[in-house]
This record gives sequence, C-alpha cells and structure tokens, in this order.
Amino acid sequence: MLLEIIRFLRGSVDFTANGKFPERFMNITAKNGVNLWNPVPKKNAISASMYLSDYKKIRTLARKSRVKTRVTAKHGLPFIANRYKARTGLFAGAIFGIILCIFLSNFIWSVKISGTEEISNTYLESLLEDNGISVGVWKNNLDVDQIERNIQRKCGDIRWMSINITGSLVTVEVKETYKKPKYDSSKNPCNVKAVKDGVITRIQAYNGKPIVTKGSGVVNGQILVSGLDETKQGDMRYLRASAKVYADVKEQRTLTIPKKFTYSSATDNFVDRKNLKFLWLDFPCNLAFENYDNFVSTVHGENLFINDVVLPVGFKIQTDRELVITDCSVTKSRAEEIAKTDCILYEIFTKSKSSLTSRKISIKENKNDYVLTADYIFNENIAGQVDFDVTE
Amino acid sequence: MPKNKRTADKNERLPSPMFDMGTMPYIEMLGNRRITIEGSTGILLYDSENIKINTCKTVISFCGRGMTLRCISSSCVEIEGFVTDINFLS
Repeated sequence: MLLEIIRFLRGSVDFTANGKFPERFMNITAKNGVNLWNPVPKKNAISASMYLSDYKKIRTLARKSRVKTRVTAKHGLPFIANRYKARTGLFAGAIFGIILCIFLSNFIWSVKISGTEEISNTYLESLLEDNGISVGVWKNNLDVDQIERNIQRKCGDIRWMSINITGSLVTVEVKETYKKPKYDSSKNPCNVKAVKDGVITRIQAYNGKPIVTKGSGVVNGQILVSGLDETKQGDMRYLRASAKVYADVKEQRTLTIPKKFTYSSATDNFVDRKNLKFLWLDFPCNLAFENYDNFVSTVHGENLFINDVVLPVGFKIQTDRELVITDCSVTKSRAEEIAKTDCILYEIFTKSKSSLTSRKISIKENKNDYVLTADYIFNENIAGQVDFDVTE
Repeated sequence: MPKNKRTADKNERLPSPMFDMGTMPYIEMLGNRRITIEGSTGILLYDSENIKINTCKTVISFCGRGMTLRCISSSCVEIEGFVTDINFLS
C-alpha cells in the first residue's frame, strides 16, 4: 500500500525495451541504481515499470545496451498534474479548499455535554459561554484547565468535570455532587401541633396522648397530641406523637377582575425569515420585507448532523406572527363565571388533599373593577409534627 | 624503522584454501517456488522458462515454468515461478 502511494506520488511509466540483449539493459540499470519492477520477458524485448525520474536518466544506459525504449503507459500524480496544467483555477481551488479546511478546523463547531442529571444543559452551556467556550470560538486560545476550575468554583453542584477538545468538537463530561441525605429525625420525641386555626372534626392518633377532642376549636401552634405520657409508676415517657387531625378550616380568597382590559392574540398572518447559519454568522436566504407593528417571534433552527457530530452549518427560521390587540369588557355575569372557574382550579390544584365543605362567592362592583370574594370552609388535616428537646 | 608487520598468532585460524566463501553466491530457496540469489553479477538470459544468472565463479541456470524476476539489484536477484531444474555451468 505504502509502496503504491510512493509510486503514485513520484509517478511511474510502463515501458518496453526492444533490442538484441534486453538482459544487458536490466543489468546496467540495476548497477546504476535504477529500480525496475514487474519485468516481463518477450521475444527480443522486455517490458517493465520504473519511476518517472529514473526513466529520464536511462537514455544513455539504453544507448549503451543497444535497446530502444518506448513508453506504453503512464501512471501517477505528475502526469495528472501535467494534464491539468492549463487549468490553474482547479489547483488554486484545491489549495484554497485545503487552507479553508485547516483554518476552519481551528474553530469550535459543536459542544456536547454528557453526565448531567440535575444541572440543566442550558445552564451549563451558558457557563461555558461565559468562560469562552461556544460554537464559533477560536479554540487555540482556550485554557481548558482554567475554564474547568472556574466553572466548578461557580457551580457547586459539579463534583468533577472534564473538557476535551477533539478536533472541532468539545466534549464536556460532568459528574454531579452527591446530595446530602436528609437528617432522619423520626426517633426524636415530638408533639403534634395545629398548623392552622379550625374546628376539629376527627382525630386519628397513632401514637401519643390526644389533648383536644372532636368539636373543640384550635389555633395555630396549639398542641393537639402530646408526646409526653405518664406511666403507671408516675414517670414521664417521651413519645414520638403521630396523628391525623381533621378540622374545618376557614379560608378567604379575593380576586380582582378589571371591567375593561386589552389582550393580544395571534392572527393567521405570518412571515418566515430563513437564514443559513454558519458558525456565528447568519445569511438571509429569502426576501421577506413584510413587517408588523405588533408581532411575536419564534425561532426554530436545525443543524446538520454527520456521524453524530453537529456541524456548524444549518438553517434558522424566524417566524414573525402578527398580533392583534383586542379591547374587552367584562359583565357581572362573565366576572362570576371567571371567579367560579378560578375557584374550581384552586380547589383542584392547590387544595387537592382537602375536601370542600362550603363555598360562598360574593361579588362587589367598583367603578373600574369587580372584587370577587370566595369564602371557603375546607376539611383538612391540620396536624404537624414538631420536635421538642427532652431538656425542656 | 619499527616493524609494524602483523605476525600470525598460533591459535588464529587461517582461511581454508579450498573454499573462498566471500566470492561464492548465496542461494536461498523457498521450496521450488522462490529463489533468492545474492552475489549475482548480472542476468544472462531472461525467459519465462529459463533464467541464467551470472555469479563470480559460475553461471547458474534455472529451468521451469512461468518464471519471473521479482526484484533486481546490483548484487541480488529474486526469481519466482515453478522451478524444475537448476544447473551450475562453469
């Protein structure tokens, strides 16, 4: 293989040496250090191959051995170069292409992050960008060790990181820190206290001594189930009180809805602005002169992939969608509907663990707005474990 | 004048007058398919059925079928093919 490459680069010729003693020609060439290969005997002739540079020298040797040489085939780069000698643009283009490849290989084309679980890739990309690693950056000036140290100092969740620059691809490997385990205080003695004001409807005490009874009103912070228990011998016993204490809890929410408001909505009119992306440059690909006074833009881009490597070439489409501003006025019945919807959403998502006992919505009309007040009574667990120190 | 003439040691072994190894060709054969001759002084005949190689002392003739010279240099020749006969001609 290597020999073939050398022969291709140096150029070789297949020739026939005609004469009475072609063997003599072979001996003379061998003694003069000329390499011959593939010699094939013929009648009063021999055909062989040799380097182009050697063939130019053997004229005198051929005359000495009284043979006439004739080239039958030409191979290699010098002949190809000679064939395209007149087309200088081709050579210039090839040289320019090689120089361009060398120049572009000094930039970062893509950044690949691996090993992140809790830390977002976008955050890490922004940290890398702050430290000078992003697509289109000249890679030879980067001090990778310093960048690694800076990022680790800034982001405490990173236990270990490595930035590897392979060609034009930057691979960032990250190991996140182990989270500190939550302190298990399940063995400490504690009381169950009320976290809200309310009227107790049901007590489920699993451990501890209940202090309150059904129907009694409690305030926030009041002990519901005590962790102190007296034994038959008269000693005090410390317990980890555990209970579910359900109570009717009052809650009030206020919602203000303006009588008149404006909102923006997107219409069907839009303009796509296509750009060809190359490193950090954007080249517009279409002529979109249309402009809207009010619009919202969405940018969608895709890069070219080759063998799982993101290339810095791709398309970016910016879609400008026209917005229409609409004035809207709210009637009292509409305000009521809005309030009901809001209340239902609140009950479903915020108070999912509570059961609704009663709801009363009242609307007060002001000059510019409606004030909606929702009075709720929820039945929910108000018990909360609060540790205490045995020295208390 | 000091005498620099080298005198033969008693234990030194003198070259045998019968064989002068320095001028003898060195022939290496790989079965009858490949033959390497070191110490050749030229090719006298090159044919697919007969190749004659000149050495200092003798001419070696190789007969066979489909014989080709794989490599030729000033003192070394490599023959490849089906060799059936080797003759040493003086």
